[in-house]
Amino acid sequence: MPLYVFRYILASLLASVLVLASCAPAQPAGAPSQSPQGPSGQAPAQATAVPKPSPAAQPQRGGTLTISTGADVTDFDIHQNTSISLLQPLVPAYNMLVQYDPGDPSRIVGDLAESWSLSTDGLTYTFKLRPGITFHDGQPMTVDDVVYNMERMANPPKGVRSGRKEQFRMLDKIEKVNESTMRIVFKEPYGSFMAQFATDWFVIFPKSLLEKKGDMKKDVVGTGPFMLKNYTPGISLELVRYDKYFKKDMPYLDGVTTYIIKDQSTRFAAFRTGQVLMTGRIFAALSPSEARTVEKDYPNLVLKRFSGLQGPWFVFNTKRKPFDDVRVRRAIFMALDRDAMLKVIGEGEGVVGGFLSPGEWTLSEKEMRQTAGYRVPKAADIAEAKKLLAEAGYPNGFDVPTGFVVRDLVQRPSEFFAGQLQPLGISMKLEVMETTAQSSRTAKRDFAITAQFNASRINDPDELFRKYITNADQAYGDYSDPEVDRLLVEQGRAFDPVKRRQLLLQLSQRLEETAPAISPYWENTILGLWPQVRGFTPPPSGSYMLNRYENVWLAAK
Amino acid sequence: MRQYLARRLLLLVPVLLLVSAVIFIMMRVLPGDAALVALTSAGEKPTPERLAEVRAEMGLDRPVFEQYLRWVGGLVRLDAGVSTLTGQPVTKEIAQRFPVTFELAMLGVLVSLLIAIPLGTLSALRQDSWMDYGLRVVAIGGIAMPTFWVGTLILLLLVRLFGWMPPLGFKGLFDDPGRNFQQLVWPAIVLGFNMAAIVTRMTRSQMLEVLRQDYVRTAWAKGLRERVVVYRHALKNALLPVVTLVGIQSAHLLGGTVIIETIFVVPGMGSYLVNAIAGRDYPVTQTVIVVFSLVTLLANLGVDILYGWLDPRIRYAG
Repeated sequence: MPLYVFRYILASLLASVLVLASCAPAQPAGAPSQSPQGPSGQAPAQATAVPKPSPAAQPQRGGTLTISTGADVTDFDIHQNTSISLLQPLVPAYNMLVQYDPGDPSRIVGDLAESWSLSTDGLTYTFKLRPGITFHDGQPMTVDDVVYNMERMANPPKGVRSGRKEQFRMLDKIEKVNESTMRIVFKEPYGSFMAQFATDWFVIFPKSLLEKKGDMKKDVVGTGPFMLKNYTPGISLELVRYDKYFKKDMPYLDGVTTYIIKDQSTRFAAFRTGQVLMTGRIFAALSPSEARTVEKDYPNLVLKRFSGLQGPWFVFNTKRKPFDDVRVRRAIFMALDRDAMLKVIGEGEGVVGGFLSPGEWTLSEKEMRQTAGYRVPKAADIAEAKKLLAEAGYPNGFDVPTGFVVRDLVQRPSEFFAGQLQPLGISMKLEVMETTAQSSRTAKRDFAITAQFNASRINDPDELFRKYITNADQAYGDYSDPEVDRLLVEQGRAFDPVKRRQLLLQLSQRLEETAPAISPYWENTILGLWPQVRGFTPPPSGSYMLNRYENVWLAAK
Repeated sequence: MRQYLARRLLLLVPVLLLVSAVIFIMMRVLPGDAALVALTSAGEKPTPERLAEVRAEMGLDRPVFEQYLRWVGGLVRLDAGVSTLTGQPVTKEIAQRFPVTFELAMLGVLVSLLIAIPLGTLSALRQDSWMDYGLRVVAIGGIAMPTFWVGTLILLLLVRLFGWMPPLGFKGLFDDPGRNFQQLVWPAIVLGFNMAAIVTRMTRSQMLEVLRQDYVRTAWAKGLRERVVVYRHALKNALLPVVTLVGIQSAHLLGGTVIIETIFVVPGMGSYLVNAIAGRDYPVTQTVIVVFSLVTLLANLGVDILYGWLDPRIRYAG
């Protein structure tokens, strides 16, 4: 080729190499200088080189914890929100009255409250506040702030949409007792109140700011260990250490930065390259195949698995034929092979379960396998299902050409679901759509079955079964059963665990018999962490707690 | 020329009005209730009373024509309203995001030109040689391979081979040029590769045509070196249609960076628009579409004028 062309090509190649080399692996921002194991470097020595953190390990100061999330933090008013993406990045700036112990998440300990007590009739909770707490703007935190916040959440003023109203539905009143004590009084005993109240949702905002502005949508001012440094829409939310935090010595970190990354593979890339030290929760956590990649190629990274109290959720419209017939619903309930679904769709990351979630209330494996719908092998269930369908008048099944409204997130589980019904002669056509369109159809009851994704806040039956009472917020299928309503109220009043379990078993059975909806399995949340992140203990279940990181520290290389 | 310019600029107005009306209707026709989205994202039960309240807040209870007039009237005053998702003024958000997409698009164009023009010329000069075939295959590949796939592939390669990805936390060109460059060079390469494919083929066919011209034959006959013939005589004439192509593609690019922006976490207009559509954010979606249309129209106008400037044979009558 002519010389000038050759020279041009050489010059451009050289230029490209120089240009690309300039942006070659510099240390990723924010991470200490440990670099990840590439797929080729699997020297066994490396695996043992990272010391196991001993309980006596002294926390070191400094460093910024970086976390990823999947959606923008457009609204800072936690009281008015219900989404994890609008909660997680902001919690480090706030405190609640009580919290789950970051060292031992099965316990609830005081946060802003130094102690609390419950009256003998089980109706009145009295909280005594710690002294000497200040907000980030220098104002002292008083009992008036707490009372104002509680009122706001329980009885929101006009123009405020409280996401916490449900938890205060049995509220009688909120009272200030004196300058350091306040009371919350309920009309009926509310067994799961403390479990709810200790989640990260019940933050305390400054009363003065709320009165001045009406909401906290654009401001981040709290009592928490970190203050807002910078929010760049669509990119990141940066929090920096608050030196006057009321808990001695904490926080250890210099700051917490949440990066907003909408694309899942980019989130994973950011985690793998160390730009993000901890993955987010629920959708921003690792998928099963990503977890496997980490286990295989990055063995020094830490994975924490816990029950996400989440999974696909198929709700029947009990007012539309043929799903108004309980026999049809029950037949489908029985025929679904949950184990296969977990294996294929959930890739084994989770447990098969019924209405009772994994944890202290769940059925034992033996008990579960005796229940129709969970029997192994599946033939017994299918035979019984066919019999029920024949009784209902559909011996050869039926067609559902429209009405299977599917949220795009749960398309694969829904396809599997539809496939499972074919042996019964039921053929279902999916209508897959994005969340907004699906919410619209669901709200208008324009569906036969709606396929959603459901995540519960806490592992408590009050919360888990709330969607099945008459006129519940999430009663998309208009299901109504007085027996279920009664049992839920009774179990909420039962403080004796043995009695409560009996009632819950009855409740669960009733729901299985009437089959308003199907939750085939309970997915795990898989959190990924770099080994230098210390002091973080994941919750036993649920993602709406332990998001403050006040006791978390970063080990130097 | 001045008259031509004035006429073209005046014609922008009816076109933009038409576009605004079309997008306005389309947004209203899409399934999905904006008030419902706003309520459910706040976790509230969408009771009929609350829905009515929120609709009133958003101005959706007014007659459709009145809503349209309010919006267009606002546009004229450069007030496009407030985003229903973030509560920020739309014009402010666009002012932040547009320069980012613009920079990315311009870098993409630059990369594509650096690749396409030499390769297209080379292909034409060595027509039907192995090099020509090879380059044409690469060009087809660039057109056939979707940008989102190439983008994800490049990101994965960077992560697996170097354990590196472009730094998060986007910085503007004037805030931190080094970081900005690191963040944008890879998406620019992906976009450039895709664009280069088309421009390469165009350059090649144009060069082939020009090289057959009599005056080029004369230049060869005079004994001029290949470099002089190609650069001084052939290339400039061949590039005229290419200029048009690149101009139109640049405008197209400004609206087409959506997926690349999502993959490489670049906060530009593309991701802004996608989020707005998903959340039924009427003010943002409508305004962004109108902005894209304006940019496209202006780019076309610019290309026409540039063409007239480059080619002395073309003069615009009044």
